[in-house]
Amino acid sequence: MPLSDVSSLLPLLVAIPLTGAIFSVLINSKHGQVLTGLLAALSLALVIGVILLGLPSDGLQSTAVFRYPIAGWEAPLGIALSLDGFSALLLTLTTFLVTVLTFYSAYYFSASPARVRFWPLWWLLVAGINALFLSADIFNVYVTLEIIGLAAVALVALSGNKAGLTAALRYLLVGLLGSLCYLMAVALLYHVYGTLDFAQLAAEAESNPLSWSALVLITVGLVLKTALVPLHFWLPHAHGSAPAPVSAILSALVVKASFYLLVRFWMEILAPAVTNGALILLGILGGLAILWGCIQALRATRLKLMVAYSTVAQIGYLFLLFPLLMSAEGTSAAQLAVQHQSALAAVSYFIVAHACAKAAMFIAAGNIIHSLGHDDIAKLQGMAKYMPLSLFTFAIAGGSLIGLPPSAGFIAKWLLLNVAIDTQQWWWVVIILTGGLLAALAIFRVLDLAFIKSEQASEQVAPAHWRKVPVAMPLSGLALALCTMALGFNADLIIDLITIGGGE
Amino acid sequence: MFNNLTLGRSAQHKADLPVGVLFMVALAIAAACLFLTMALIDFGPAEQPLVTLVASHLEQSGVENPVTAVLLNFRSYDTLLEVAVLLIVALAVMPANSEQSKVRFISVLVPTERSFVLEAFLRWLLPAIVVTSGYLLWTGAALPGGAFQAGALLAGAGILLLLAGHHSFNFNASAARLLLVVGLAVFLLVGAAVILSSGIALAYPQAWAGILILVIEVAATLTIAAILVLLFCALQVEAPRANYEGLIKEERP
Amino acid sequence: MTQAMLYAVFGIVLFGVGLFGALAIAHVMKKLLAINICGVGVFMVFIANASSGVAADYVPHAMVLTGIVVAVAGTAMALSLVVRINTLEQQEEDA
Repeated sequence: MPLSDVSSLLPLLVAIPLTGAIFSVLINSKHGQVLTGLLAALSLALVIGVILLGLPSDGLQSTAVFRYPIAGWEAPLGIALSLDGFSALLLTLTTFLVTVLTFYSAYYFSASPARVRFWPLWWLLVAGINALFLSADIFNVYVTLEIIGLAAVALVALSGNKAGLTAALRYLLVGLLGSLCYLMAVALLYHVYGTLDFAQLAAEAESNPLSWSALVLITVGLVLKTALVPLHFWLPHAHGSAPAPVSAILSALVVKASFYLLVRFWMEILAPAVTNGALILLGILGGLAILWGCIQALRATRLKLMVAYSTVAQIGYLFLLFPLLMSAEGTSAAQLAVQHQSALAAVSYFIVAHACAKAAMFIAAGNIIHSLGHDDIAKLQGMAKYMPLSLFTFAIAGGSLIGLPPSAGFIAKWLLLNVAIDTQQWWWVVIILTGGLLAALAIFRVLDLAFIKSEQASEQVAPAHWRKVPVAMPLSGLALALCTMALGFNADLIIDLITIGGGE
Repeated sequence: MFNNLTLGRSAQHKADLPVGVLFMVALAIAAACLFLTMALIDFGPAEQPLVTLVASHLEQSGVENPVTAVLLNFRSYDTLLEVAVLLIVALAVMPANSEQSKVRFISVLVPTERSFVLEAFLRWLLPAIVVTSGYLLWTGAALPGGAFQAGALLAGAGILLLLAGHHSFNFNASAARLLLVVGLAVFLLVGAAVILSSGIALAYPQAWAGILILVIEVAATLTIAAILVLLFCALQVEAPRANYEGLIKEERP
Repeated sequence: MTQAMLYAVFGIVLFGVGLFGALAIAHVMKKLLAINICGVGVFMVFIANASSGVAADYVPHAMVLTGIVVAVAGTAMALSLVVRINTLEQQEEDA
């Protein structure tokens, strides 16, 4: 049974990073590892490009889902990979960010002894993320979750200081507990439905006590991994103390991976077990996350910690998806499908916008630490003179996080507001706008210090321990920040992609 | 709940959560477990469609042990990723100094304390362990056994060797790094090579399935053994000095 | 209640006990042990359910084997972090 279409390329998305990991263990010279990294990133980009070109372009009419039965065994006996618009979007995002961050890491780790272990772990993490977005098997997803979790912890621990190791340990314990909750749900679902395949489960799932239990366990486990308030306690320190490229991928992709799974379970696999009350509860937690994350970002004294708290807030926006899925009385199935599509499109847009902006911000913060040796916000006064590119990047990415036009963040919030108004849930509008305002306060606090010369700044000389960073480092951050702008002008691309195969 | 992690030696052992909170947590978990139990009992036993599916496809899998068939043929992708998980942990615990990559994998030491009984015993035991491990690997095709059991046993041999004090392992050596990835690399290579014949990754041609599974398992055994020994080395710490000194004082009054 | 069901129920109890321990105890090593107990509970539910039918189901056996390896990996990683933090603390005290 040879597969000739797009499907036959799917395993490459996992195999390439795994091969990259193997080679960066075997050839652990500096240039060998960087070369391996660039080759792997390039081939990933090539494969995803071919896949995107092979996707049907007729948008809404198509409900194609590409499947690849690994080892030739069809589900339920075997494991299948599958690809639809939502996962294609996330895979594209992953490839893009990984390419930029690989380039950045080549410079970031050039002088660090952590390099030897960074590269193989980096490619294993990428393999895990790709495998998760492709998987169509709930147990296989557990293994990919563990790959992501363990690789992320190992990468956080690369910082090697006590704060970093403690954050890594806490992250690991939380991750293990979350995975076990998920695994318990897998045991229940397999017992009840006799299959592990996404599509087969979705076809058979019904609303019964075991399905509810499974949904609750999955949600608790994955919300723990996604760091939704009140289970966010591990995130700021883990993301705040990791090396910059690691923080970037953790905030941009790793938390999104578990969110992606939540969306799969709530919208497709266990959709019959979902109740309106549960949807509202997730929405309320999301709203709380926005406010709490923004307030903590305002109070943070370290730049990276501030950016990490902003991630907590941005995760809150993602969870506003759930209340927007609620069906009002008297809506037809077709209307509901359209509502689901537009809510999912808005949130996907949000994911992309946040991923680019947040990666750019962590890169900028990483450059600042690289130059100054610290990221104390109070000591950043007048620093724009010394590192204009990094702070400019920070400003553009910040604009996208606040939601200023014409950035992608603005479009994402606009789409979200539209759905909220369409479904007559105006209270989310208030929260979204307040969140934007608070984010603006936090970001302008930094920019104000950095750009505006105060009276004392005139007597300030170049800071001590000043190290110049290679110009490629701020440039890769700037490229990401400019992407958030470019995406603001090309919203259709993403919205078209998300509708492929996203049929209910 | 996760904000104050206390480690073993800290004298100021931080108190656990307040009793009221503990009680609430216990109550919530108990209620959830009770609900789960009731739901499970209410649902009762289930006949799984996969039982017959596995049985009817066993002949095509190349092995006779159904668990091995699931692990290395029907759901081989899970096992591939699982070897990747082990590699992650190996990399995470690996000693950080990479300058040692020129030092040989196994170097011979002169032990500070010799135990002749252990040495004589090991001369008998080590070959036996290696042979038994090979047997476990081979028998995995038909009976319980396989790469993980064989690898764990082999790792036991490595740890005994280490404890005897005549040898030390350097996992930054090229040979060691090759051992760490050989399982994953062979698995990937076989998975990719079979595309030539069947057109699908990891889909072994039926006639070759048995031998290919054995090849993968041999490589996986080596990797698993190496990684487990590495874990042992990495977690081996000297006893806390304070206690150690205390012990000596007590012994010599 | 069949024997398999009894095992499943005790699996759930172990899961609950482990969960409580992981949340309630501050000491890292005990927390780690609790998480492992939690895992054992999950594996027991898998195995008990696999034997509840007429013939044994081998797929959960394979899943539990995978799960055990992953649990060992996670535990080893946590222990290595604990060891490293401990070493750093010791150095701080000495300094």
